[in-house]
Amino acid sequence: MTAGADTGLQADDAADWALIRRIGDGDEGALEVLYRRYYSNLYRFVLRVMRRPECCEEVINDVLYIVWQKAADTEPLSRASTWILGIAHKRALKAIERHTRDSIAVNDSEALDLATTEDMTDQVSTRSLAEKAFALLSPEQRAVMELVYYHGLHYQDIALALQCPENTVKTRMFHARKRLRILWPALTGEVPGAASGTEIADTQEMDA
Amino acid sequence: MNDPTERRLEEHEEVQLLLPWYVIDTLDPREREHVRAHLAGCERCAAAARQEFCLRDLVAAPQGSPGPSDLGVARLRQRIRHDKESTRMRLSTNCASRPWFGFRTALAAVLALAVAVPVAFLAERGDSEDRFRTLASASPKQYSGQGNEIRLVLAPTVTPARMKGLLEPFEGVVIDGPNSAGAYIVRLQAIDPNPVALQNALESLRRQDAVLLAEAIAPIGRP
Repeated sequence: MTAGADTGLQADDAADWALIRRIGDGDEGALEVLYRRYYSNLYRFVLRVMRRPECCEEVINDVLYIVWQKAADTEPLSRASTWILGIAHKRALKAIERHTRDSIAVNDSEALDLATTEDMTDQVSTRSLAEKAFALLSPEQRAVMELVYYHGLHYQDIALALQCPENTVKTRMFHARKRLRILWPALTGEVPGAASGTEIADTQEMDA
Repeated sequence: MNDPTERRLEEHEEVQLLLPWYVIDTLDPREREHVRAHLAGCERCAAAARQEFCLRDLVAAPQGSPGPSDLGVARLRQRIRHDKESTRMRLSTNCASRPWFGFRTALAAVLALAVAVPVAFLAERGDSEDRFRTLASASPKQYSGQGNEIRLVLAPTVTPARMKGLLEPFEGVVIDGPNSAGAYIVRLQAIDPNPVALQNALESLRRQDAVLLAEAIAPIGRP
């Protein structure tokens, strides 16, 4: 990351915390600004974790409502986005509990069918592949993967957001990667299992 | 621990766990250098790193998330106002249990009524057009006066998606609200501004369980 980009992130974060302070003072206008600023990122994150588009709006509403309730008592100990994504993670998991099961999850054989499809170069296929890949993972694994690769968060920040040990974050990623081995041929053209990694015991919890 | 094979195995594990953050370049310099040095001498882990780069590109690809809607903002504001109202009610209930506070509140209410009733009476006489504006809070200057604008109050359990579904057949657009009573001002764009069409639309809305109140802004037949 360049120094300029880092400075830009810090400025954005300071602006977000300034908004959160105003929200803590009861400023509904500031809440609307934060809502609009975070909506797309939250939608993407919640959709990734839940895989239920029809639930996203409701969960985002919950997230911002909690921001409204907690803003006055929250200290800026992390990036504002980390704090908000942590809330989104909890709300998404609770929403999953409310609904029966991940009804649109596909099984491994469906993913394998897709992985052997030849035309994987266009954007639609890439998106489909990503969807199938995420269907193979648990909600917790999907959350960590999205926080790493889309939001670019360090494992310490993710541990803070999800309120779990750093080793849990690392092993969730590791097991998620193992689950996705089935897709490597489509992704890389390499032989499956060639670089599956060493076996690592998950001492915190088994997500796989 | 001193066994070189065991040590090497631990190093593989350590590097494998750090690979995602090596790929997004957020490791601290010491960890980064450790991973880099290991990958240079381990083809198996280097292959895993290459897969990790592909995975990053796959996961980070754009998804085309929708933008925020005015309806979503309105729902959030409604929820907050409802919350404020509940808090206020709780507070007033608590205060009422204290006898002296109750007396003072009652006295203030009597005095307020003594002032407000004559003022309201005079205001009513001066602006007979407003007598139909129940639940009014927003300024009438916002209304187009086209005769296809309504006040709408929905059950608190109605989700944004449900609200959208209710308004969709009429191409309803929220132009204001919700106010403290939870009332929205909605323009039914698909409805011709004539009394019959508006009456039919209102009746159709009132038949829905989710709709607590649907009323024309202006008295029907008088845009």
